[in-house]
Amino acid sequence: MADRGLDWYMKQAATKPINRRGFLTMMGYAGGAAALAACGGGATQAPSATASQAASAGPSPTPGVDIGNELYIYNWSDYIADANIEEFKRRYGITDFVYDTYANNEELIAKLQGGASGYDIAAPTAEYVPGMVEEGFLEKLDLTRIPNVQYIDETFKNLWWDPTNEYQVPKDYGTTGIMYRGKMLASPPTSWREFYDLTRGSESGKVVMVDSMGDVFVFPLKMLGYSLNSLDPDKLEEARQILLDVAPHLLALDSDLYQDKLASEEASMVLGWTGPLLGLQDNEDTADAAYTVPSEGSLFWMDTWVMIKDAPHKDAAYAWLDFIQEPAIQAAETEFNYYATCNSEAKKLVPKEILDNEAVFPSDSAFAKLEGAEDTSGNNQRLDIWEEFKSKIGG
Amino acid sequence: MAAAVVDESRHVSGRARGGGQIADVRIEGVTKEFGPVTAVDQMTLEIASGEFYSLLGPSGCGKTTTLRMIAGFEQPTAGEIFLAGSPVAGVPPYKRNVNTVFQHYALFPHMDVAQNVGYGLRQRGSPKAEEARRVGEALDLVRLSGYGTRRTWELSGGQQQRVALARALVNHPTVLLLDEPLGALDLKLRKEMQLELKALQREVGITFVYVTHDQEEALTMSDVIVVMNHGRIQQLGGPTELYERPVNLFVSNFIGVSNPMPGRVMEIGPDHSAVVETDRGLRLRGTITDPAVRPGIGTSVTVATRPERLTVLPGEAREPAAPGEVDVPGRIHQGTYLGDQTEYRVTTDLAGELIVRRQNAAGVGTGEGVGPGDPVVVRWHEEANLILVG
Amino acid sequence: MTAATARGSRLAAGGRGRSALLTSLLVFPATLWYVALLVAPLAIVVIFSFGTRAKNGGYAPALTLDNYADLLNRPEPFVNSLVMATAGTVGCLLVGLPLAYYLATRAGSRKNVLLLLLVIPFWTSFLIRTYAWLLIFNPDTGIPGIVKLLTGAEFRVRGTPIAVLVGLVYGYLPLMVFPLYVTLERLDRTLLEASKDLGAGRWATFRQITLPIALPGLVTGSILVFIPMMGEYVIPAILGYGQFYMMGNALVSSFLEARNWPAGSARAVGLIAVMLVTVTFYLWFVNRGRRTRETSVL
Repeated sequence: MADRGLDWYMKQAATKPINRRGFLTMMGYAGGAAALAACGGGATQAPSATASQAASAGPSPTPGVDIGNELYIYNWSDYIADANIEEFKRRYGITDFVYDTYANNEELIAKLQGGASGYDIAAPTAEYVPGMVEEGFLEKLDLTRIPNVQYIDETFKNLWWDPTNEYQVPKDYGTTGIMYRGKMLASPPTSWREFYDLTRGSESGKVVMVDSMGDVFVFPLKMLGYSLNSLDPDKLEEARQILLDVAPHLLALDSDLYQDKLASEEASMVLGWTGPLLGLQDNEDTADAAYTVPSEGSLFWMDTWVMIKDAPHKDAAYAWLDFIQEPAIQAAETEFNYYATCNSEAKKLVPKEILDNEAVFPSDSAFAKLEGAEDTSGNNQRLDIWEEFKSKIGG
Repeated sequence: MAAAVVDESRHVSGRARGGGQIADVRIEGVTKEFGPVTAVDQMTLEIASGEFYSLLGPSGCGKTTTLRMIAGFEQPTAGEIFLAGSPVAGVPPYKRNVNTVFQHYALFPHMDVAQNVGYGLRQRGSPKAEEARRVGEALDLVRLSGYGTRRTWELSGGQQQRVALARALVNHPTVLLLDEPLGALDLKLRKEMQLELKALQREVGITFVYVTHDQEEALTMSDVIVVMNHGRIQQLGGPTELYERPVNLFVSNFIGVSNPMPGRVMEIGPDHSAVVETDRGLRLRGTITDPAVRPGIGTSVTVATRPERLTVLPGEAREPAAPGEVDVPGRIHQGTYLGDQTEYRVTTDLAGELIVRRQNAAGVGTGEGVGPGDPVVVRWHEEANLILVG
Repeated sequence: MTAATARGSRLAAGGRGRSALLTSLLVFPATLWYVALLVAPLAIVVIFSFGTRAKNGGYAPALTLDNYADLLNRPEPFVNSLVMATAGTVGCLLVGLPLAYYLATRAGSRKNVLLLLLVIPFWTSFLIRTYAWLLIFNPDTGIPGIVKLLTGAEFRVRGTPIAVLVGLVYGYLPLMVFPLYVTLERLDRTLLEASKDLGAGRWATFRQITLPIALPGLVTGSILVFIPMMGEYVIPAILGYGQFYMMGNALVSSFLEARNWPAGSARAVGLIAVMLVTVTFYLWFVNRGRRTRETSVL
């Protein structure tokens, strides 16, 4: 109920704004000292029980294949299950497993621009892949050496950022959706249409949207049954009308502190990301917080595994790419980081409670209508609508 | 404190000038304390219309505080001040018909000369034409005609001083208060301005209350000088009176130079005369300067003489002095040629060191040719003996 | 500014030969710094503003005025910023002037402590201080909560222009107070006495003496707060709940969302132009002020 204390804000200010990657960080806050201590142990910490069980269920090392004993991975922090790393090292005799971290895609690209990085594997967000290919940063993958890509769901294949699926292997994905306080709503929204009606009706003045053009456009376009990447002027004009309809009823446009507005019950619904959800659910006062991906479908973002051009340990890198897509290993990943796997076999091994959590896995109907974002930033009509919308927030 | 009260009334009561007419300023038993410091102590003073009053004293004597209380910048801790007969307690400065010329002029830097001078008139809502006319007149008065559009900092110190004067006078105040206004000027300019100020005061006929620590300045300009020390009035009177008959040692030392000789009263004569034996054994007849005191036999007093009343005679032995003359033998310790006069310092057994001043006439004069080490006799008439009580 | 130039020219004039060389040697690093970090980026922004958006975002060379034409079609953020910055500047004046006046004339021995208290909050992050206002304006536990408890009246502050205004005034107040304090502190107190002596009351004295003499400080302070307020981004986002679309937000939209660098550059140039006009006014004012011997505080 009550707002968080100043020290909470200080932590917020000290770290970067909440993004999709903030999920684990938020768990850390919620879990308090114990969770912090666990995180503090870093990659060498003993694996969680479930993860290690899952990992040890995997096949034994392939004998007779020498892939060296080194692998250099450049990745977001805390983004691989510790148990899986241990299992990989054990199975392939890797003794020198290096895990360096970056804070955002730009940092990764800057590192690669600086010349030979010495890394074998990285995990950029999908829309950064084409640019990296163009710059010659990425190795074209020999898919025959990664048989486990067969488990990747078709939804995540042949997308604009890698039409031939040759430069990346999907890692995991998340969605844009509606986070809400269950006890504040008579009936929670299950669709964008309901969200629209609630916003203009009972929840007027209590709705927040993230300050992100691409995410906000998802709502009107998907509600109308169009592609969220639509550039059709007529469709965009329809979307504009919907956005201008709701603009006066919004409480805030806010990407950074919306969970606080939910917590204080200033806001009942947020068009946003899953990041803060567990933090809210973990608190008794806000345990009614929930997240849904509207039935008309929504936007998904995806992180990918890529191999760096001229990777010094190619064999180990291929071994890793294949290893990490083993269903059991991949399921352990999902359990570790609470991001949805793109691997449909692995999904079958994920515990039901995680499968049922819409913040991790969208409903089947919504999943069928998920769309990846294309680069629509050059469209002036979108920008005009976005700026008009922004100048009408709150009436 | 009780002594102080007596002291005060002794010097001041019955001294009010101007007879029956209402004094421009009347200060009645005013005390001003700043924390533990008493700046003005039980002061009573009447300032008569149309005269040039000086408040004279060393720094810290309370003269500026007195001025600021009249102006309204300070409120008395006790007592009452009347302006033109009305008590002004609690009346703010801008409602008092007095104006001040400040020590550093306090001219408004963002206004030209005419705007400065017209400031007071504008506050009273004078019509523009009248303001222009009176500003012109005031500038004429201080001989700054045609300077109206000049910037104040372009002017010399003396000119700035005149602007400040014009700015105050243009309002026709009942009383003009001047707080050491010539302090920042060089000596020559100061002397000129002194005479000019005095002439100006006569011309406009406004009462001036002038604060200074410079006794010469006060003597030059004032009709009445109020000598102050430690927040109290020491003596009030015309320049001649103060110089010729200082009522106490402080006044006699502060105004001019004197040769003090401590002693005790031996006899009391008529007309305030008395005989004093100095501590060095000299018996001197003189006049008790303060008519208000009647010392008894044995009272400690000081006999003071002015240097110009003394003469230096070369040689040792002399014929006996004429009746009423005092001869004290000694040796020249130092002779200083001052242009118009020469000052001798003579060491004597009977009177300590005596300062003697002699006017230098063309080529002639007693004591000519005496130099350090020469034996001399210092002679003066007993009329020069001022007996100072306290 | 003017003082520094004057001193510089005197140095140069006095130092023929060796000391002139020394002067240029000493000035060189600063000049380099200035050119590399101020002039060059500014030039790039100006050049970009005449370009077009590259296919995948960014900048492609061109020579077009479209971006400036477009600027006129999107005046809202500019107008919003102008209104907010003006209100914020007035707010800073209303709060800063009495505060500076008190510090300069009345605070006495407490002056140094009070000045320190004014500065101490600025040792912490701007963001944290802005977040702190969210707590102060908390509808349950902040000021509105207390008012509600006492009077039953319910009102909201967060997400309103009041919250943004308070944030702006709070955030930039010292920039207003310090120049004002300096001019007021230099103000000769006997001028005020002289004014009162000449028949002007408190208010008349303040209006005719204090204010005109403090004007350079006042203008300096106003410009120091107005310029950053025009570009302010964080305060309207946090305290205003993003309900106020300002220039800062528009720049973010242009550069990061539309990835249209030329359009963003044109916006930036437009903003810089407004600042230039403001500063030009200031310099004009200071030059005019030279006639009254009041020097610039900048």
